[in-house]
Amino acid sequence: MSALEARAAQHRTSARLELHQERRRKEALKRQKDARSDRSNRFRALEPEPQIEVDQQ
Amino acid sequence: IGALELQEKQWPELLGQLLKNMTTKDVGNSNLTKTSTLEALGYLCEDLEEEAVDQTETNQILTAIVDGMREDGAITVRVAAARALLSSLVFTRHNFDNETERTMIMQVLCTATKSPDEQLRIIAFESLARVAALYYEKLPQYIEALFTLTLTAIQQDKDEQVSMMAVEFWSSLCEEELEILEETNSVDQSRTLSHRQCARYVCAAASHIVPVLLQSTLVKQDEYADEDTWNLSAAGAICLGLVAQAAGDAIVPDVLAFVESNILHAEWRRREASIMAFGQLLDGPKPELLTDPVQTAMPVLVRTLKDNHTLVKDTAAWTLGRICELHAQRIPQGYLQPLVESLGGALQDSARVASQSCFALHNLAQAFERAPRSRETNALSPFFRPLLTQLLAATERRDWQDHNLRGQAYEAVNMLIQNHARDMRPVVLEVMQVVLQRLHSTFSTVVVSQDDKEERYQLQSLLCSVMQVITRAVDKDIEPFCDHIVALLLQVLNNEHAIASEEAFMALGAIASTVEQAFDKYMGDFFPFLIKGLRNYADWQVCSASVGTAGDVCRALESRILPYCDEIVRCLLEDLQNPTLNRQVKPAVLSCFGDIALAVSGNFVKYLPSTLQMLEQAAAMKISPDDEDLVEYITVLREGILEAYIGVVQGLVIRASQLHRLHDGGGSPFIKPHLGNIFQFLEVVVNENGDDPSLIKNSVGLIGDLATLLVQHAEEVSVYFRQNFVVEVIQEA
Repeated sequence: MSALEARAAQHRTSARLELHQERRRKEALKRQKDARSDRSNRFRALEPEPQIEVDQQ
Repeated sequence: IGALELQEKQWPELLGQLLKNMTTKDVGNSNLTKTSTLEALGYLCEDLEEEAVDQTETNQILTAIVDGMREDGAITVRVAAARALLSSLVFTRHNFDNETERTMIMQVLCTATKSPDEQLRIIAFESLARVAALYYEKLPQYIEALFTLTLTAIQQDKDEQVSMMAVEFWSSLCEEELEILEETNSVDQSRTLSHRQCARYVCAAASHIVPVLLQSTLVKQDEYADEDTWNLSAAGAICLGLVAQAAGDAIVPDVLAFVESNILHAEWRRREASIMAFGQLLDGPKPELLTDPVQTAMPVLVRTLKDNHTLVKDTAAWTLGRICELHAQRIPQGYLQPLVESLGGALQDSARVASQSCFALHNLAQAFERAPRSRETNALSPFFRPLLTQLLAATERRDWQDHNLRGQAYEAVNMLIQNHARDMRPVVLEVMQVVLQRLHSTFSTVVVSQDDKEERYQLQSLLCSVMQVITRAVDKDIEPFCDHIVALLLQVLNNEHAIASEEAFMALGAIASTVEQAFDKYMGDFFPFLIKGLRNYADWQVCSASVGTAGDVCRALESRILPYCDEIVRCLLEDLQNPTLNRQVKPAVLSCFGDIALAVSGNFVKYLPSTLQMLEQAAAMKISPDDEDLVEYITVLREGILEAYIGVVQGLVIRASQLHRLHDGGGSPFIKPHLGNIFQFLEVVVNENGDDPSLIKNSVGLIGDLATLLVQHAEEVSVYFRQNFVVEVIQEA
C-alpha cells in the first residue's frame, strides 16, 4: 500500500460498517470473558470452606 | 525471483551484475538499461527483508541509486532511481548514521523536490515523508530546509499530487511525534527511561503550517468527487486533525479565527472548509478550551444541515457527529431538541447527508453508554420513538445502497437500543417485531442474480446484529419471543454465508446467555449448525463466533450440555491442531475448554489427558520480542490457557465435593502429575506479563483454585506453592 493509500484509509468516510462488525466481535469476546470471570468468582465465593489441616512441615 | 533468492543467499552474483549495468559505458542504449536496472533494484528493495542485505551490498546499491539521481542524467533514469531510493530507505539506517552519507542522500532528495518533472517531485516528497518516519532523530539539521520546501510545494506547486505528498510529510511527522509522546508517556508511568526524544517540530511550526493548510488545501474541494476520493482538501483535513493532536492548544486561535470568518461565507467552499477545520480541531486541544467554541458553533452547525450545498451539509453532519463523540457533555441540554430534530430531518436528505446524519445519531446515542442501564428515563427518551421510526425508514429508502446508508442507519438503531432507558422498553420490543418481520421477509424475496443473493445476506447480517443488541438490551423480556427468533436465526445459518452466519452465531450466544437452561430446547436443532461452524476453517470469523457461542451455551446449559460434549470437544481439538485455521481463533478455543470443564465438572475427566497435553503445548510457546504481533497473540493465548486451567481445576473441585471427597483431594490424581508444568507456565506469565492485570488476576485465581483442590496434599505439593514467584505475585496482586 502506498503512503497515500494508507493515509486515505484514515479518511473519515472509509469502511465504517466493517469497523462496527469488528467492534461487535470485540464486544462479544469481552462479554464472554466477563461472564467466565464472573462465574469463576461466583464459584470461588460459594465454594465450601475446606478443612485445612496443619502442615507438619 | 531475486528477492526470494537473495533472502536464501542463493544468487550472490545478482547484485553485482545489476550494479555493473550502472557503470558500463558502452551499452547500446544505456539510459534504457539504467532505467530497467534501477527499477529492478527498486523492486528488490521493496520485497527484501532488512537483514537479507549486508552493509557492503547496501552501500553498493545506494551508490548506484544516488548516481542515477544526478541532475545531469536523463529524467527516466532519475525517476527510476528516485523510486529505488524510496524503496531502499528502510535498509539505510547505517548510512543515515553517517553524517556525510546522510547529508548526501538528503541533498539529492531536496534537489529532486525542485525538479521540473512532477513524477520526480512526487517521489522526492514521499521519500522525505518516509525519512521523517524512519529517521526522525536525524532531522534537526534538515528541518528548516524541509519546512520551506514542503510549505512552498503545498502553496505553489502546479501539480496537486505534489502538494499532497508535501502535506504527507507533515502528516507523517505528526504521527511520529504522537508515537514518541505516547512512548514517553507510557515510559513515565512505568518509571523507566525513554529512548527517544520528541523535538516538537510540529508544535514549533504550527503557526505557519495551520494557515497554509487552511488557505491552500481545505478550500480546494472537488465538488464532483465522491466521498472516498483522496485529494488535496481531504489530505489537508487529515493533516490538520493530526496537527491538532500533536500541537494541541497552540492551534486553537488560528483555526477558530478561520472558522469565524468563513462559516457564514457566501462561497460554499469557504463554509465547508471552516466546518471541516472545526471538526478536525475537536480532538487534541484541552477539552475545556473547546467548551465555548462548541456551544457557539452548535446552533450554526444545526442550521447548516439545511445549507443549499450537499458537501457543506455532509461536513456539518460529520462535525456534529464528532462533537457528539468527543464533547457530548459540553452540549447544553437546551440544544438537544434542535440537534436531534435536525439530524432526524437530515435522514431525508441525499444519501450522503443521511448517512452522515446516522453517524452523528450513532455517536449521540453512544454518549449515553455510561448512564446506568436501570435508569427510568434519559434525555433521549422524548426523541426515541420518532428517531427509530426515521432510521428504520432510512434503511428502506430506494437509494439505501449509496454511501452505505442502510448499514449506517442500522448501526445507529443498534446504538440507540443498546443505551435505551427503561421507559423506552416497549418501543424496543416494537422494533424487535419489525426486525423479525424484516428478517422473515428476506427468505421470501425474489433472488435472481448473485448480487441479489449477496444483498440478502448483507441485510440478514444487519438484522441479526439488531437481534443480538435487542436481546442483550432487554434481557429476560426477550423470553416470549425466543422460539420465533431462534427459528429465524437457524434459517440464516442454513444459508452458510460467512458474514450473516457470524452475526447469527453471536445473536444465538446472546439468547443462550439470557435464557440460560431454557436454551436446552433449541439444542437439538442448533447443534448441527454449531458443529458445522466449529469446523468452518475457511471462514475463521465464523469459526471464532461459533467457538464463542459454544462457550455461551456451556455456561447457559451447565450439565445439560453433556450429551453434546464428545463432538464439541472433538471439534475443538481439531481446531487447535489445524494449521490452516487462523491462529486468532485458538485462544478462544482454549477458553472454551474451561467453559466445558466447569459446565460438566466430573464428566470432563475423560477429556483431561488430551486437554492438558494441549494446554501444555500451547503454554510452551515462547515470545520473540521482535515480533509485536506475536507478543500480542501470546498474551491473548496465555489468557485462554489460564481460563482453561481455571475451568478444569474448578470442575475437579466440584467433582470432588460431589463425590464428598474434597476432604481427601478427589481430583488430585489427575492434576498432580501436571503441577510442574502448570507452575512453570505461571512463572513465565508472572515474569513476562506482570503488568497485565487480567493475566495476573487469573494467575492468582488459578493458584487459589489449585490450593483448594490440593489442600489435603499440602505436604506433597507445598514445594510448588512456596516458590518465591508465587508468594510475590500474591503480594503484588
